[in-house]
Amino acid sequence: MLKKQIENILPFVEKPARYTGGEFNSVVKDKNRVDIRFAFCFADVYEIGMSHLGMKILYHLLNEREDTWCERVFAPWVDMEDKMREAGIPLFALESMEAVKDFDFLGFTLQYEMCYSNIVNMLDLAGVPLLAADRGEGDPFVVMGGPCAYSAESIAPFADFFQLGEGEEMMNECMDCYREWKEKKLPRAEFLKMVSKIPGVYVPSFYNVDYNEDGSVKSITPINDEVPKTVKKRVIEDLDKVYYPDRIVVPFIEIVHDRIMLEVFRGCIRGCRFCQAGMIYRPVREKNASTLLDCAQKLIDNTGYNEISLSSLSTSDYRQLPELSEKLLEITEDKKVSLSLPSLRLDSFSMDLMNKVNKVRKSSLTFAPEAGTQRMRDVINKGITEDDLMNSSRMAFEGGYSSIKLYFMMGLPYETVEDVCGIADLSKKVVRQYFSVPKEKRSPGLRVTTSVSSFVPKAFTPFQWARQNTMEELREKQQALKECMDDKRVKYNYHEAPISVLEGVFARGDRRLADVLICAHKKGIRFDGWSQFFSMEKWNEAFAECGLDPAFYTRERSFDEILPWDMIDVGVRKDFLISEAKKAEQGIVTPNCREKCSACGANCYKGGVCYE
Amino acid sequence: MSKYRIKYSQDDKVKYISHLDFLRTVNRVFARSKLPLKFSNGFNPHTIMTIGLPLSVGITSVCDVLDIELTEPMDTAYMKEILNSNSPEGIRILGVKNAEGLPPLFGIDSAIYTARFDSDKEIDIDRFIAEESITIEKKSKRGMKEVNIKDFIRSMKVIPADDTMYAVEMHLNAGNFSNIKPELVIATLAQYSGASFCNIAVNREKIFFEDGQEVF
Ligand code: SF4
Repeated sequence: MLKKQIENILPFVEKPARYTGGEFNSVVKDKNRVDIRFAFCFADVYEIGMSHLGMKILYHLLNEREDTWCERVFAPWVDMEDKMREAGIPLFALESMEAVKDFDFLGFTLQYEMCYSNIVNMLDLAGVPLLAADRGEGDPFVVMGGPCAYSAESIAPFADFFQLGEGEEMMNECMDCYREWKEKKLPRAEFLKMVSKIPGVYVPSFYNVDYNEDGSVKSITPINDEVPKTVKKRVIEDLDKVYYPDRIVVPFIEIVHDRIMLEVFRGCIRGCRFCQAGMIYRPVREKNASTLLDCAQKLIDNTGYNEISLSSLSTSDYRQLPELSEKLLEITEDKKVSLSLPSLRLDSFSMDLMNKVNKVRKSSLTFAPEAGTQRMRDVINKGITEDDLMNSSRMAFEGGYSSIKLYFMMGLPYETVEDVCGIADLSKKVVRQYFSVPKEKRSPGLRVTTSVSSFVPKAFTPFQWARQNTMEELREKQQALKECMDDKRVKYNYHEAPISVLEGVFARGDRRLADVLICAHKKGIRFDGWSQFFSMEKWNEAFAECGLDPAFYTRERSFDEILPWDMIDVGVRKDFLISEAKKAEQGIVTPNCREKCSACGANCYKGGVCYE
Repeated sequence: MSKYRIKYSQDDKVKYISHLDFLRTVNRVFARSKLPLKFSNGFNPHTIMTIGLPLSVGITSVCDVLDIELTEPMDTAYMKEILNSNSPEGIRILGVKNAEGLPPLFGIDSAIYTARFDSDKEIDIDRFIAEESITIEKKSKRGMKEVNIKDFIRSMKVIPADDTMYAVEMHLNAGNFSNIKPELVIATLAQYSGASFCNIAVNREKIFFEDGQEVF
């Protein structure tokens, strides 16, 4: 029996509790009494996957169904994978400890491009044919979703179908459809036809993609008249009415976000031009404070967690934040639960709130100006001025904080060396703010940490046509910045360039990259997100063997070029993105959704900020 | 003051969680059970709980104990029920009693374990048991130290094995005064016999106070 085999190898791996399940609120069902077995797969280790909110929601949503048993699957860490392969143990699910290849569905959530190599590896470890085209009757259906799914053409040949957008309704519709298909005992191909009728479902094999000589996409053609030309993402119009679990799995071992997460709204009003999340989750839809409080209460009761956090893209924009935080503080104080706040825009309200929350310890504050000069911040539409930052840091220092983290990006479109060095200037100005506060009013131990990441152009943003900086350019800029960072009181961190270049390739990739993924898999590539395993040399070999050039994918594109993801519709229209791209070039800012609607197209969904 | 003593088991499902993981888990069980927990004063209020004898990773138990303080008295039958319904499957509450007047848990001084295992060759456990002295390296607060493992073993005997080739029962020093991990005894037995063991399953069966009285 598989279970026994697994138990035999567990004493020899790191953190065996990653693989044993049995956590409180995990769901065990009688497999003979369900029709559908769904393996929810997360292509990273347990501690990371278990921290992911979307998985928690869909796991319990699926298990609410009597006909379905959803189990969790994470990427086994390398030591475990090696032991599994040695012993001939296939990828298994935590709840039943049974092989996932016998399940009806393998569902992968695409959270970041750097997990694609792990997905291929997990399919292989599962013993499921890697490519959808090679799967036959009796094989599970591989479904993918998550934020990367809108432009996941490089991994698309591995998926039977995608769910685009928010899954709460679509997932149930797909399961109902599957049941009907199963009852009718129809052939495999029929299911794909049936499921493709559900709004938001994208079946890659229903589209033929042709390429020009130069490698760009020549055409995307539906295979027949029944297939829609574009597939539109789904959103939940009313978040107060949608399912939210009142219990979540409570892990034994510590995970990355080991707490209750309350999602206060989806989307973001801001429209920063580099930010994919800000575009693909449009329009902004808030949850009512009373819905959230009710939810918080139940989750605290049902999990025993002693920490709760608010999770959204820019929580300060939540209009009911005062009421919500006040009542949440009452609940949490009563139950000896601590409330942790995400980084808020600093004003007197948020200062006051933070003081109430952190009664004792003042941790560090985080600001994200993203770019070093005003010109550059206008280009990216980041509505923060230098004055804002100076006022906020002064307020923080006067309020007793002495540690500030600043987040920036480099490699942005239209960026010059002066803009990059502006990062150093701004950091030094923050240091000066500290010393301008009288000694008796400020806390000792100043720490300013400046972290700079490399910008990666993403699909469905105004910068989707932009050229990504090469490794050499990024290294030069990093060097230039290092030289301007001559203040010892600023600690300077930056991310490694090669990994962002690879991320950029897959973020704007096409289907031909599937060959590279297979080739990379054969070379043993896995866990690219972990720097100890990432090898650009091996990736370069894989690209070369497949006759593809990474630089092709990071190049600049013209507005009229057919993009590999043009069969996907996220609500935000291409003409809006083009006008935003042009405004970026001129450094013209666009107001946020609450100041003035810019008619981006997302109002095709009936709800949220567009109709407030 | 309302102090309760709780006896519980930990099976295969939870044997790989560390002592720290276990503490966090048990605190969450108490929180979910909504018992009137007493909290310490200070910046980070925590429950007032004493674990009798921490269990090492990889070992199961049917006899572990902990003490917990509440702000008011509770019915012990109710406590057992509510704690069980809020515990993960691998942890079962076997009994709850009022701890007033009971000997404190720091008086624990020995425990009985069973160990089942397969060996790559035939071994003579009785010869191991009969030895007067077997010197091993043991970790102490001040680095590695040479000790006679027999000083820590009160008794040891071969018991009938079912699934595995061998099974032993051993009564070992355990607690604050003198302690030895059962897995170290088994590892020593393997080394002594020049054998290599696998499928090792160690279970803690009983815990005793100094006077020989069982702890629960
Ligand atoms: S349609 Fe207007 S309000 Fe709605 S998301 Fe787009 S810009 Fe914002």
